[in-house]
Amino acid sequence: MTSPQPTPHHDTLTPRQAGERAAAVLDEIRTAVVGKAEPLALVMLGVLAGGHVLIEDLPGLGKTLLARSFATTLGLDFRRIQFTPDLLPSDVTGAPFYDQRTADMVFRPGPVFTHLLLADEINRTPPKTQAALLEAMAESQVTVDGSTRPLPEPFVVVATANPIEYEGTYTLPEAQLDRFLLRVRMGYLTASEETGMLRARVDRAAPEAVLRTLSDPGEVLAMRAAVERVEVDDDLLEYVVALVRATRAHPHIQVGSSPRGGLALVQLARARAVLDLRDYATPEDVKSVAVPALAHRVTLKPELWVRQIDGDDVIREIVQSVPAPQTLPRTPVAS
Amino acid sequence: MGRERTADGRRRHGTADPAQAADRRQRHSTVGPAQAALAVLMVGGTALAALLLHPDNGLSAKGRGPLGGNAVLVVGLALLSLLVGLGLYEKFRDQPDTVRELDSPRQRMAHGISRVLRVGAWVVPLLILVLHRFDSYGSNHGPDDQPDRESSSPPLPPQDPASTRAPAEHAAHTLYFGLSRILLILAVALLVVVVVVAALRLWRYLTRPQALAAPATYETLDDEQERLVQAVDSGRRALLDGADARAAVIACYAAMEQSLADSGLTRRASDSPQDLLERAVAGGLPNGAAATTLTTLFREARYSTHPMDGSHRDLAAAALAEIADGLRSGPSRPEARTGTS
Repeated sequence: MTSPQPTPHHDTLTPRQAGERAAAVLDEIRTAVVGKAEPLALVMLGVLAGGHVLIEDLPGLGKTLLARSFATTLGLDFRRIQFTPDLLPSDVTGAPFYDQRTADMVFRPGPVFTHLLLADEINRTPPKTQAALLEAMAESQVTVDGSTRPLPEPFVVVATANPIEYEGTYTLPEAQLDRFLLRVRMGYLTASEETGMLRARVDRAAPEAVLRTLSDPGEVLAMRAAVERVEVDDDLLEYVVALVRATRAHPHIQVGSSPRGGLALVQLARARAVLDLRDYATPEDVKSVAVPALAHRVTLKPELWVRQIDGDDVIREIVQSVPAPQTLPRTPVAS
Repeated sequence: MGRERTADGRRRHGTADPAQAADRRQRHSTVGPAQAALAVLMVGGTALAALLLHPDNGLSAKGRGPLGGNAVLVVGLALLSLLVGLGLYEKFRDQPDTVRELDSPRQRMAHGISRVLRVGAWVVPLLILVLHRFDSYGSNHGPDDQPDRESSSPPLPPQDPASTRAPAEHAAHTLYFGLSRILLILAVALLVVVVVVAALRLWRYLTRPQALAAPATYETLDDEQERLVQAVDSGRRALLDGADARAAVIACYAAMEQSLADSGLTRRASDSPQDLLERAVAGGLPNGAAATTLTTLFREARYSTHPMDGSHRDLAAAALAEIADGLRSGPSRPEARTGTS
């Protein structure tokens, strides 16, 4: 799946340059992952915005392939943990062991010490092991036996979860759900896309496509820095706050989004602007990422489970009801 | 997975476009109250009439309606009722797609109605036959025949009230009928209130401003077409006169937005510029490409702080001129009228 490629030089990237590099990466990934334009873009937004991505959907929709493709194309060090019920926290973070030659305790890093960690089927392991990722995801560091060790930069967790199986699964702790910048759903391919996927498999005569490496960790960090240069108008910030507060007042929601949800919304909107080669965010950017950024952060009232209403539906309704910024700015503008 | 328990993952992927679903929900939420009010009015009115016309000798008493003298007619009515009931049930059952588009409470209501129709198709004709008083005189006797009256009335005891009716029994009998009468009056009063409220709601729905119920379309708005052109012209003046390019572009877009509002396409509070543009194009806005250009320029002027110069102003001027020309030459026929409210 991997093929070594020369890594390009990268200094400071403008949002437009970062968007062009990201578009090239996405184009390359699309050769392996067929017909998932929006999920692919959302995962890229998560990488650009410096967050972690939860991919939640049914088996066989390409979740693992998608994560591996990103690692390969972005040139990131890649590790995978297959979460199982008997996995221990030390299997994730690493543990000290006794070195007989030096008669000392030596720390052996776990798979979390990587750039892109694929936490496959994260809901198959107990909360104790899931929580071992908490510190790593929130602060990019791991503390074992009282000593703190930083993780490589960039550090991205792409977790996959199967939403329909309850046997032998553990619901993710709410604190951990909140640490995922966004939740992505893959969805089924259309008939033509599915045919195209089969045709591509037959034509390449190999199980998986070979992807080129188009970037490297340094460039990913430069792209993230470019996201930080995207402007966000005050009216837009107020719009984000209004959306987040609406989740706390909505009659279908028991617990609304945390302030971290607002931060996620802003960062994802800025990343969306970068993908569109802009250096300013717009209400469209906010609206387009509201569901992936907020739906997994709200707790619906129990009766809605019976009525088959989920977080996506409620957030979509909120987006369609909260007033967007007005046409005329409140303060005079000048070129 | 997740806090909202996404066990309905399969269902979600099979649903239609969210925007369409939202439109459906909005349509249902608009028409729903009026339909509910109409249903309450009909059911309540029928119940009220039934209560007011109920027979004195009990609801289960057999009797005849004005057309009930002919036994053949009664059997025919029962058969007709059966056929109509079965027909209604079949028709209702043949619309699974419509039912599937409804949300959960309405789906449950639809399933309930289906069951009631299925049972009612058989029960109603059965009740017509069972509760009808078929007499031994055959079908030629009318309802006013004296023997019918005599045979239907309960046999009276020998007329000697002073000696045969005990005072305690008489008092209990009076209390029973008094209580029944009070309950009946309360029920009638409650039904009257329900019917009045339903009628008021229906009246309010029917007398709503027409602009909300039927949005204007481009080809029906000759005078508004003029206003639309004027609004665009005002935007062009703002573009040319204004010293600041950013402010001029914003003013120009605001003029276009105003012109759309004048033509019946009002910006909703939650609309982004792109939302408004999409609705306008779907509603038949001429020169969609120019409107797209102007919208893009507006977004840049409104939400960025990087310098904007004369080139932006020129682009906006060209786009606005194209829109104005398109409006003067006449609007394109809209292919879809959705979203013009």
